[in-house]
Amino acid sequence: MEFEVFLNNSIDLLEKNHKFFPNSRIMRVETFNLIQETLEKYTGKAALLLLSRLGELNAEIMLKGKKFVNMKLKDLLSESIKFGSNHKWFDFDSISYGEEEIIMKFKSTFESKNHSRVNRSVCSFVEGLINKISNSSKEKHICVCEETRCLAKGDEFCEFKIKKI
Amino acid sequence: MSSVNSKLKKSKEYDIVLLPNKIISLLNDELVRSIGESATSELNYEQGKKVGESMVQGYVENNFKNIEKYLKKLIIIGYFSGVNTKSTEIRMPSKNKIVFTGKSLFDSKNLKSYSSNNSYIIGELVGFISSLTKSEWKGRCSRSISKGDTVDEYIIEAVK
Repeated sequence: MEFEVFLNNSIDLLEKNHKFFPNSRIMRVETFNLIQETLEKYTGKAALLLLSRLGELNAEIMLKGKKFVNMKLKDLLSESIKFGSNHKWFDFDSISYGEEEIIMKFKSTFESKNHSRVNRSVCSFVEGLINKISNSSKEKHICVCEETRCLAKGDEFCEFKIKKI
Repeated sequence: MSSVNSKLKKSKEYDIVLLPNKIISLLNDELVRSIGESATSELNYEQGKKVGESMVQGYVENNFKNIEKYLKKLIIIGYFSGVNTKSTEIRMPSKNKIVFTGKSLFDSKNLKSYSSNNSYIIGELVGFISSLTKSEWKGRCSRSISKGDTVDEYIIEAVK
């Protein structure tokens, strides 16, 4: 009986997330890191481009959801943060809006959380994700997203700057 | 309830991320291109097994009626990542054998690394059952749509 109680509680936790992405796969963060590091080892910088493209593709799948249609940039980013947090893509910290620049801070992302210490940013997937989202608003801003700080290189958090061009 | 949920969240074993199958499949294809099908299958099996084991969190269950019930429940909500929730059937022809028949969620037409994805699914099922029963099980894919069969079938058997 004890296991059944545990199971029902786990199911509750997962059902909450599965409402968003019915065809999603549960992946251990460690597994992702292993794939990420293996690809980096064999394909070098091409792996970063690939992960960035996959992040964009992930955003495209997410943005197909009705609630993301025709939204202003501020609202779109806010909804995306909620969605991404539910899917455990990142642990959100704060966001600040400027005239030409938006700064997003995360305590960690699933890419940086358990990544071995390196001397560069590693969150290419999340970078691609934010890049695609910020270019999909009602205002049709053209934006470029760049990760400026990263937990994996010893910073206290991961920071992404979105510049409006 | 809240204590179990917070335990889940705190547990390193439950350090998980939810990504669309399409993204994982593309990532997998790239991995096959880099390290080959066999090494990818091995990596996927081991990682899938760890996911399956982590679902159990140290609980033990040897009543096969209950195990069958849990598996059905888990499949309905899509807990096992690669198994189609609508079409999967579970049979337990004996206490040492569990058969899953259905259709894998992965798009076999476009997927280059179909068999290594199967390894992930088999790993998950083996990890879950081995951990829950505290005994050793092994798995194999007996039928596959990618090879021309009408269904995907996974057989999980106790190691004697």
